[in-house]
Amino acid sequence: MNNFFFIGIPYAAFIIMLVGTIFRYTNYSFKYSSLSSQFLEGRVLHRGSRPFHWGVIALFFGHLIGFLFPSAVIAWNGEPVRLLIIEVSALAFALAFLYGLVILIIRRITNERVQVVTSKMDIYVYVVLVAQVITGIWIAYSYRWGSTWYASSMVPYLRSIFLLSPEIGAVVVLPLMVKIHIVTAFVFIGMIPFTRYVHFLVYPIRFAWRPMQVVIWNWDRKIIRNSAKGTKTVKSRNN
Amino acid sequence: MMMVRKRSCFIFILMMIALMGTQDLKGQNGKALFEKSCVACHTIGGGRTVGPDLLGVNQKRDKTWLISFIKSSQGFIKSGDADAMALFNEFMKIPMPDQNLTDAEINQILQYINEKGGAGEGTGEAKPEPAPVLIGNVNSGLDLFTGKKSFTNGGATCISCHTVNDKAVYYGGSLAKDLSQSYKLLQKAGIESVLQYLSFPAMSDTYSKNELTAEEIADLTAYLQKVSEKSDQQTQAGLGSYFLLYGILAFFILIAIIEAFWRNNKPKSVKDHIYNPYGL
Repeated sequence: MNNFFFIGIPYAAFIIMLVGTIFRYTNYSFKYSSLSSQFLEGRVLHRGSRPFHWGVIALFFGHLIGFLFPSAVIAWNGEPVRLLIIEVSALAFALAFLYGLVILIIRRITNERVQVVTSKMDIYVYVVLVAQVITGIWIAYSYRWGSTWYASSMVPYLRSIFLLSPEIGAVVVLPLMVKIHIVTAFVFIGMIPFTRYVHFLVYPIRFAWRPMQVVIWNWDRKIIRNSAKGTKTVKSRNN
Repeated sequence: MMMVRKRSCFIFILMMIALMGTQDLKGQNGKALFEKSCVACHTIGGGRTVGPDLLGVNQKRDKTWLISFIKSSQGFIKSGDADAMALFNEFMKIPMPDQNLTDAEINQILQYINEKGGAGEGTGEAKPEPAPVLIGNVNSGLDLFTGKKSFTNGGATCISCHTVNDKAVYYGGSLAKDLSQSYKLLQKAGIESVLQYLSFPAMSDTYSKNELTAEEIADLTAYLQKVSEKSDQQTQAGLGSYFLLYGILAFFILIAIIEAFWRNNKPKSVKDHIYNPYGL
């Protein structure tokens, strides 16, 4: 059973992600997007989207840095103050992630216009993300200090997956919450090609510092209605 | 023809990949298997450490019992075997990890124990070579435990996962066991054996590439001995609740920064009132 969860699912997830994203990009490139619903509802979206995205980006890179430079993370955490800084910031980003996610879920459930463009896959993504963030916060609080033991115990397992000689000894003895966190993470990786999450693969980095893109009507509808040509556009005065 | 060649080539590659996984176990004899899987907790005639001394184990128990216990000690105990339960209780209820070994491999190990135990002059032959006795430094052990002093080979600090009942270790980890009583349970030989041979799976995967030096093991053992002696008089100052509080505080600061940074962002499309006149 452990082999299935910690060897089978990871490899299946990576293969599905790789093949699926390439297939989707080559065949349905117009759907290769976050499929923004900002045009349908913007106010709540912005309130939730920012903490959600900042949380998710920080946590993603946090996990990535631990994976790439485990010994540097272990050395950094040698000093108690530095350990606390990294743990507290990670927890804050995780809470921001959860806060944003809850707002976005409420928005998707309550807003009629957003409901129309909601697919089943969005619901599945929410379920997996909620599982991820709750188990993550639980782990951070109950099984301290995750930043170091991730680098020392989890990274060898993740590396062994990439080196095609999986060693799951350290994983199978970990608490259930950690196991759920690992498995849902791989499930999520496998889901990427079929969700709006593909946009992270083509995410322009300057999104980080430029204002969020707001879609607005950029023409005066009255002129278009009355125009003989019907295609003439003018700069909107109220924008 | 081309298709057939491609397919056979593909099958060959698949077979090679499958073989790579099993290659490790091939050619291993009982001695190698014992050193890989058992030596961390057991000796053959060297006395008890984390687990019992295995000298004469073949005479004490029958083979099927041994195989069942080695494969899954916890499963065997749960099945209600009285001997297994007694053994578990005798060794401080420290569960023996399940061993992913085949019956043939277990037989090889048992045979090796038989040969090793019977071959030498008495029990002395099976004992490990006497290592120079190191006197551990308690303060040095504390520094290693907390991470103030790094391990020579770069292993993770003990507090990443463990804590002890010591005022100096106010920010201990909570993933793995509280080590306050570890010395009482395992004694010097047991602690040293755990640290040297990395008896538990999580420890072995964590430190197999960053082994502790003999001096570090001695220091840590000395420190754990000190902790177990005085742990009854101390109360631990846990950082758990503070940690959550700091996290929540940092979260509010983060939200404030995000809100302030994008305060001029247009909140909705400019003609929202047309599409959504009632503000729904």
